[in-house]
Formats: sequence, C-alpha cells, structure tokens
Amino acid sequence: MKLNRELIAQAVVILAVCVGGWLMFVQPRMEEINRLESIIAQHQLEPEHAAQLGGLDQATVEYIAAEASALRERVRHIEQANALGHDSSHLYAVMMDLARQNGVFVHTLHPGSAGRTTGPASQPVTGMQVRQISMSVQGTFEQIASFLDSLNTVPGFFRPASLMLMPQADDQGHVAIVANLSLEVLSFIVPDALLAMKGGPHAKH
Amino acid sequence: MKTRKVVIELLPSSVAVAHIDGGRVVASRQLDVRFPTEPAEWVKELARLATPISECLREFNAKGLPATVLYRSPAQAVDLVSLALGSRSEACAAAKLGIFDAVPYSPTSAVCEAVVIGRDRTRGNGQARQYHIVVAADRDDIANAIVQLVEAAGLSFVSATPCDAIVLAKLAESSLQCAAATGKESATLYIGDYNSHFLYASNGSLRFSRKVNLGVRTMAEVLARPFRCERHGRASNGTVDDSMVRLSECEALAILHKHGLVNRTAKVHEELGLHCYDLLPLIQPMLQRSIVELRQSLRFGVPDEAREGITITCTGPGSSVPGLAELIATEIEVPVIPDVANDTGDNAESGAVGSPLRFDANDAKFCEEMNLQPVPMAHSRRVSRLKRWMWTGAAAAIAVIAFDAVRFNVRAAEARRTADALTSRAASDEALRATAKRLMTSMEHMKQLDQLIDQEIGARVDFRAALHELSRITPRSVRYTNVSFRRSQGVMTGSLSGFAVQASNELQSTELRSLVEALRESPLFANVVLGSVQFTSLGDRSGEQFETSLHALAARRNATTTSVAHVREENAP
Repeated sequence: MKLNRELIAQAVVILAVCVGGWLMFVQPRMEEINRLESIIAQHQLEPEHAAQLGGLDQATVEYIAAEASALRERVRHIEQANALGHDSSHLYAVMMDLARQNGVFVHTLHPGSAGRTTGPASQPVTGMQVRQISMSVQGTFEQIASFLDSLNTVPGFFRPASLMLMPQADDQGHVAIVANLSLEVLSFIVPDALLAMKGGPHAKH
Repeated sequence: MKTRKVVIELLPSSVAVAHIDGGRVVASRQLDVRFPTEPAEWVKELARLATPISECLREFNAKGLPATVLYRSPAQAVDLVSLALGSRSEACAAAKLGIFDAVPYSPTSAVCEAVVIGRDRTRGNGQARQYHIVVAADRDDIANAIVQLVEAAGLSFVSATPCDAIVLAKLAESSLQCAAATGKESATLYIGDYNSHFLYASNGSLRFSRKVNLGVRTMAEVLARPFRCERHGRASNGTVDDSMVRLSECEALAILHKHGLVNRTAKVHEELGLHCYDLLPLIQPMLQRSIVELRQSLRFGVPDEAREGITITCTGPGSSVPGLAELIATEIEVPVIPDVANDTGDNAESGAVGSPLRFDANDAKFCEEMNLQPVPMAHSRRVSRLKRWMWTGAAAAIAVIAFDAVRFNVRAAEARRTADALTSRAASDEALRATAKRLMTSMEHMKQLDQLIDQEIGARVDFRAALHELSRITPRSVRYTNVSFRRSQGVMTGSLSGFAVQASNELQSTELRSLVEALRESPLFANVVLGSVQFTSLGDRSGEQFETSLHALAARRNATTTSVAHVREENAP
C-alpha cells in the first residue's frame, strides 16, 4: 500500500495528542500516586518500627501526662524555696518576723555571701548554692526554743550549722539566753531539663 | 442506515435496474441489451447504458442512491476454492494467486477479491479442515467502466460483484449449513443461466464442488442459432433459406421454461410448427457433456458408500425447466429432485430463484466484501476506512486518557489526604516520643535533685525538742554555762559546759552522773561522752565543772523536703 502523507500526518498528530495528553494529565498523577503510596506504606510500617524501638503505648502516655503535672508542681515548690536564698532583704524580713512572733530580740543578723558548691558525684546534673547567715538573738529559754522551732516553718531550704546558747543575767537578776545561730540557706540548682519542662523564663535557678 | 438503494444487474443479454427499499424490490425495469463478448467492446457498450439507466432512475425517483452492481462480464473469473491453510488471510491470498493463473490478463491490470464462505467442521479422508473461498477477478478497465456508468447515471457506487460469485457463495454456505444441520450427505446441483455447479457436503464439511457448463440461457442461445428443419415448408421470420429456422432467444427461453424436455412429440412453436424432437438434437451435445461431467463428479467426488443413497437437490433457474431434472436423473442414475420450495414460477425476471437480485437483497454484506472495484478506489476507500478507524481510535484513546486522568486525580486526592493525615499523626507521635523522652530525662534529674535535697536537709535536729529534753533531764543542781551545737560532716555535735553543785559540804558528790545517764538514755542524743570534770568552787558553793560532748540526732519533719511522690499525694483529689 502506498504511503498516504495525509494519513501519516493525521496519525502523527493523533499520536502526539494522545501521548501529550497522557504525559500532561495522567503520568504526573500516576507518579504522585506512587510517591504518596510509598509515603503511606512507610507511615504504616512506622508504628511497628516504633514499637520495636520502645514506642509509646496508651498506658505510657497516661503515665507521662500524670508525671508531667507532678514534676511541674515540684519544680515550682523547689524554686519558691530557692528564692529565699537569693534575696537577702526577704531573708531579713522573714527572720525579723519570726523574731517578733516569738518575742526574741535580734542583736545581729549577718547574711553571708553566697558560695557555690557542686553536688555529689552520684548526681552530676544537680548542685546547690549555700548562703551562710549568722544571727544573735536574745530571749527566754522558751522564746529561743520557739524561735528555733519556727525556723522549720520558713518556706526555704534551711540547715542549722551551729548553735551556741549562753545565759546572761541583767541588772535585775533576770536570766536571759543569748543564742548565736548560724544557718545555711540552700539553693538547689534546678537542671535545665526541668526548667524547660516548666516553661518558665528562668535560666538556671 | 440507508435502506434505499439501487441494484443494477448487467447480464450478457439484458440489463435490470431495481429500486430496493428495506430489502424489498419496489420497482424494476429490464432493458434489452446484447453485450458483445469482446471485453473492450463490452466496455464501450456499457458506456452507452448511462442514459437509459438514468431515465429509469428518474422514473423510480432513485437519483443519488447508493448502487450495487451485479454483473457478468466476458473477462471475469469466479471460482470456489477449498484450501487447507492456517488462517483466513493466507487462504484468501492463495486463492487470489490461484485465480490469476486462470485469467488471460496480467494481475497488474486486474482487480481481484476473495471472501471466505466457511470452514469445514471436521476433517475428511485424513485432510486438514479446509477454508472455502469464493474468489473473483476481472479486468480493471471493466471495473472502471462500471464505476463510471454508476456515477454517470447519477448514483453513488457501492460495489460491483460478479453474479456467479454470489451464487457460489450462497450455494457453498447453504450446503455447509445443510450438511452441518442434518449431519447427512448433501448434494446440490445448481443450474444457472450460464453455468451450473455441483456441490457435495457431508458431516459439516464441503467435500467437492465442480463447475458444469450447463445453463438455461446457454441452451436458449444454442436454440436461437439457425438450424435446418426438413419438415419446415415455408419461409418464416429469420429464415436463411427455405429449410433454415431461427428462433429468437426469448422464444427459445420461453419454450424451455414452458415445454422443457418432457414430451418429445409436443408442439413447442405453433407458428413454425416446431416440435420438441426438432430442438432436442440442438442441445443434446451440451446435455451429454454436462451429464458426463456430473458422472465424473459423482464418481470422484462422492464416496462409494454414500453414492448409493444420495439424492441431488436441483436448484436455480434450470430446476424449473420441465423434464431437465428427470433427464439428468435418468442419465446419471441418481435421484434428482427440483427444489420446489424456492420455485416462484417467475424465472424470466430479475429476483427469481437463484437470481443475484434476490441474493443481494438478502445478503448485501457479501456484495460489499466481494467488491471488484478499481484499485485506486479501493485504495482511497481503504485510506478513508483507516482514517475513520484512526479517528475513532483517537477518540477512544482520548476518552480513556480523560477517564484515567479523572480516575487518577480522584485517587491522588484521596492518597494525598491519607498521606497528610499519616504525616500529621507521625509528627504528633514523634513529638510525643520526644516529650516522653524529655520527661523521662526530667524525672531522672528530679530524682537526683530530690535525693540531693533529702541528703542535705532531709533530716535535721529539732533544737526545740533538744532544748526541752535538756531542760527536762537536767537536775536542778546543774547549771549550764555554755550549750553549743555545730554541724560537722553531716553530724550535729553538741557540747555542754556547766557546773554541778555539790549536794552537801560533807559529801563530794553531784548529780552530774545522773545527768550523763539521762543524756545517754535520751532518744534525742547519742555518743554522750563526759569530758573533763574539775572540782571547783563557784562563789560560796562547791561543785564540779564539767564538759560533755554528744551527738544530737536528726529527725525528718519538714515538709519542704517532700519529694515528687509527696507532691503527687498532696495534689491528689
């Protein structure tokens, strides 16, 4: 059969239209579907993979949610307690309030400088800062005892370092007790991980 | 679909024009034309038919209709070929090659077509199943002349098919169907106008076919030749001399159909006084040749065991010639039964039994397949058909592409939604895992911090309790001059300095010992060690000045040191 140019031209045009249409409208969608299906298959395999790597189950998620709340509350308490060790004026006010409440007379109050110490080797992520304060108060035996006892109610980390009690008689023969008290106010360094979990603006303490 | 069309039948001695509507002949006209037997002259004669045919069409109001031409030309060749080949196309190609060997003109100046009629259902005599092909060929100038005639007459050319091809096709098809339906032998003798065909089929297979040179019009042509009649006493129309007689072809045809070969003494032409025995010698050679061919066909084409009980069915225009079937049966000694069911009794006109017009009306599809059209026209039509197929295929392809595009768009959108959801869920899971990891780390840090806090301030000396304990256990005779506590290496070490007054001047005894015992028994103190003791006098009193060291025991009591667990308990509802 002789070649018919018109027929061949029409065939070429039709072929081009069909191939072009397929390339424009079908093939990109097929590629996209293949890509998406591979993504879907990958995601469908991930839960098994995650489970193999110690993935989370429902109980773990619930446990984490409960622990997170308790941790945040605990960090808040610790930071409140730490605050007293960083604010000498606040510390002074607290001590004077305690003295007034217990009827003792404060002769001297020396908030010492803060010195940094690190924690024990078994707890490398934590540490503490110790502020040494010394004070001299005078009162009756009961007042001094109450004052010493009331130190436990101060919302902070206190630790008595030394206590010296000396009786002192006045001109009328009344015996009072002078107590020289040395306290260590502790500020525990909260790790960054705990601060970040709390979400507050605090950097270190 | 157009149901109106025109069929033109071109026979050597007549031309028939029929207007067919819905498969029914609504009008027809027969023109008396005698075509020459030389092909070139045949073509010239054909060209002169345009005007009379056009007038017929005007009368039929059939101008512009599609036209099918059934014709018999002097150069045409038609054959029924049986070939055992692998495919239809191979069989058709072989049949075309075979017929070109039988025609006197070059294949390059010829048009040829082959149509497969059927295939044997069973093998016969160890032979493979055969394709049965009707193949026809003609000169291309004749094909061109037919197309020009149709177009000059104001019609649209559809096809040009040899009459014999239609006859052969229908014969072969009906023989195959009859043999397949009954499962018995089927022998058919078709006696046509110019040729006859004998076909034998059995068990669904066409076993034998042969062309026999016997035809009604051929016999009429022989009878129309001048012949000498001894008893003819007067001159008549067409006489050569006083003893020569000549019948017209119509007269001869009418005599054959009316009187046939039944009664030798019957008077068949009143005007000429001719009897049947005057005419029989004229056609006897032709009949004898045909009977010899039939005998040979029966001998070589039909198996011996089948020959005994076989009955030949006689069809075609010759089947209605009285006495012809009986004569053949007597001569070949096999029953020959005319096919009365197809006999309409109108054999002289177009559309009679075996007439191409009837075939065409019933099977126009074959005419379109067996189309001896000019090569350029065939090429043009093939190209047009290819274009039609191509555009149809293109439309289908575009439809498929559009369907695919829509389908893939829908699938892509669905997959996109699924992937987005899975990606989001995976991101959430990842964030949750990271949070959990951070929380685990934080819990570990908190645990260490709690341990540190507990270690540093968890247990403290309750000075109020210690002082009250000292006050309780210290005898009245003991006065402290200094009470001090100092924390050293995690232990609160106490130092008590004082003066124990002597109970009486005579006895050098104090209550220091009982104080030490009481300190040792107290649960708030431990490691009570009495240091230096010096007997001395203080003012007017004498006594023992002493120093005692001890450890004040620490106890847990401050809520500030509570751990995470304690906080959790406090916050619990």
